[in-house]
Parts: sequence; structure tokens; C-alpha cells
Amino acid sequence: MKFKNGVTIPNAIRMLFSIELSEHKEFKDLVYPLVRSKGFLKVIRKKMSLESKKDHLLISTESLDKFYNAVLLQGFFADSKKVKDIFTDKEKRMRAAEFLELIFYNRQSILGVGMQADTVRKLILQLKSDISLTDIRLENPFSELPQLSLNGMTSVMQALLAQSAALSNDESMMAYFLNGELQKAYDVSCSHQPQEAMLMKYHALIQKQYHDAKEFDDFLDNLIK
Amino acid sequence: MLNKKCLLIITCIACLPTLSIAKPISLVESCVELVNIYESKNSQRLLAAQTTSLSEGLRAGYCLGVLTNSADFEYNCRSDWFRRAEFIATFSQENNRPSERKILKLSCEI
Repeated sequence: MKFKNGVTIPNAIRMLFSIELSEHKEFKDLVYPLVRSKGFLKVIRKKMSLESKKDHLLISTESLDKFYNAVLLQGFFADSKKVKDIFTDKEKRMRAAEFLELIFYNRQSILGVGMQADTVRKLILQLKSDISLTDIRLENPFSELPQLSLNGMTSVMQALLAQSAALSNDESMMAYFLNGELQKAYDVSCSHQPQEAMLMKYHALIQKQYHDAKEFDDFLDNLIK
Repeated sequence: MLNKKCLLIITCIACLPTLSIAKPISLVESCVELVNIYESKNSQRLLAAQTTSLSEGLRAGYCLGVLTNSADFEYNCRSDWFRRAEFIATFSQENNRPSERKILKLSCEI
């Protein structure tokens, strides 16, 4: 079904990634929250039929590039909230780029995720630049989107954390931090002093965020007692 | 010429206080923030700080301040401030809210 100025989600995925969404339930569960998320993409709601209360959710054609980028970034970072932050928060966008740079500097591939090194490099440059992620599509380094994999690792981040023993201290500190696991990131940072300027910056940031968060928790506890 | 300048300065100074008057903060909305912060804290350690913005924190503090202050000076409150905050927060769903004064008083009676 096609509608003026809007595309259904399965059609959009077919157009952009040549994937049949109906054949991949887990992928579908990852994609729909992105579209439903308020204020992220421009969506059009159309009544299914006159009597029906249900709506068709259509992605406005002007939001297709943004949708494409969001799905792609989901392949790296899994969590849709974190993916959305990359679009709105300059600092988080830079963190994502620096993380990818760190991870791919030492390796050509992540176990279980096929990727082209050249394209990853281009993608990192795009993320570091000022280009609008709403209008310009990111380079796609995946030979197949990780979201489609059957082993439960639906993103690069998950694949990395699953093999954390193979990660350097620098890498696991960053992976935990970007995955929102502040305690684990802090634990690593306490027994490890990075040598490189970019990582020293994160080391300090993690220490500070941990102490702030702990102080806040303690403060909230004290109020209740 | 000098008079005109003087006049201008005086008008500017006269306008200053009106500029700095703070907008009222909604008690119900700020109590929602306070309850949200505790929900976040109870769901996962260290999460509250990561999910609370500065303005949300300030709003929550406003709720806490109003509740503890009113408990001390105005009403004979039976329940603690957290239960009162939860009670007040439930009004965010209601279209016909009673006045804040009324809600505050009701919260003392739960």
C-alpha cells in the first residue's frame, strides 16, 4: 500500500535496506519504537478503514533519511533512546564517533558482525563532522544489519560486551559507559589509567559521573529516612 | 538632551523588577518530578542522576520545599512528605484540578 507523502514501515525498510520486515520479528520489535517515539520522525497517521479505530503509521518521506540513519546506528548501539540522543546531543554524537574509532582502530571486525573497515572509517568521519543526520545518509558498513542476526546479538555493542574478556581496559570502560552501565565503567576506570588524551577525558568523566550519581542516590536516601 | 537620557534610564530601571518576577511553578507537575526521581532511583542504582535533568531536579526540590514547609507551618499533616507528593502527583492526570491550596490541604488528610 502506498500513500501520498508517506511510506509504511515495512515499505520503508524494503526500500532502504531491501529487507522484508515480516520475516524478522526481532528486527521489527527494534524498528517500531523508533517510529512511534514522539517527535523523533515525522509520521502520518491514516485510518485503516472508516469503521476501524486503528491507524496506519506512515513515515513521512522527508523523514526517510533520518529513519535510515537511526536504523543503522541501532545496529551499533542497540538502545533506541541512545540512538535518538545522537541526533540531538552533539556531545553524545561525538562520544559515539570516538567510541567507534577506539573499537575499530585495533581490529578489522567484531566477532559475528561483518563490516567493511573503509566504510566504518567514513562513517566515523561523518559522525565527527557537522553534517545533518536528518538529511544526509550515513555510510552503511554492514554486510548484513546486525539486527537480523539469529544469535541474539542485535548490535555491535552487544556483541562487544558479550566478548568483554577480549576487550582492552580502555575498550570495556568505554563500552560500559556508552551502554549506560556506569558502575561497571567506574569499576574498570578505578583499576586502569588510560594513556591517551581522548581516553583520559572519558576516564575523568566516568569518575565524575559516578561520584555525582552516587552522591545523588545517597542524598535521596537521606531525605526519606 | 540630558533629560531625555535620564528619562530613558529611569524607565529602564523601573522596568527591571517586572522582568525578574518568576513565573509560578506548578505544584502538581513538580511533585510528579519528585516521584519520578524516586522511581528512577528505586529501579536501578545510580540511575536517578543519569535520568534527571537540572530543571527536573529543581522542580522536584520545589515540591519538597512546599510540602515540608506547609507541614510545619500551615496544616497539621499526618502523612510524610513522600506519600503526600505521590498523592499530589496523581492530579496530573485530572482535567478539573482543584486549586493548589485545596490539593495541599487534601494531601495532609490522607
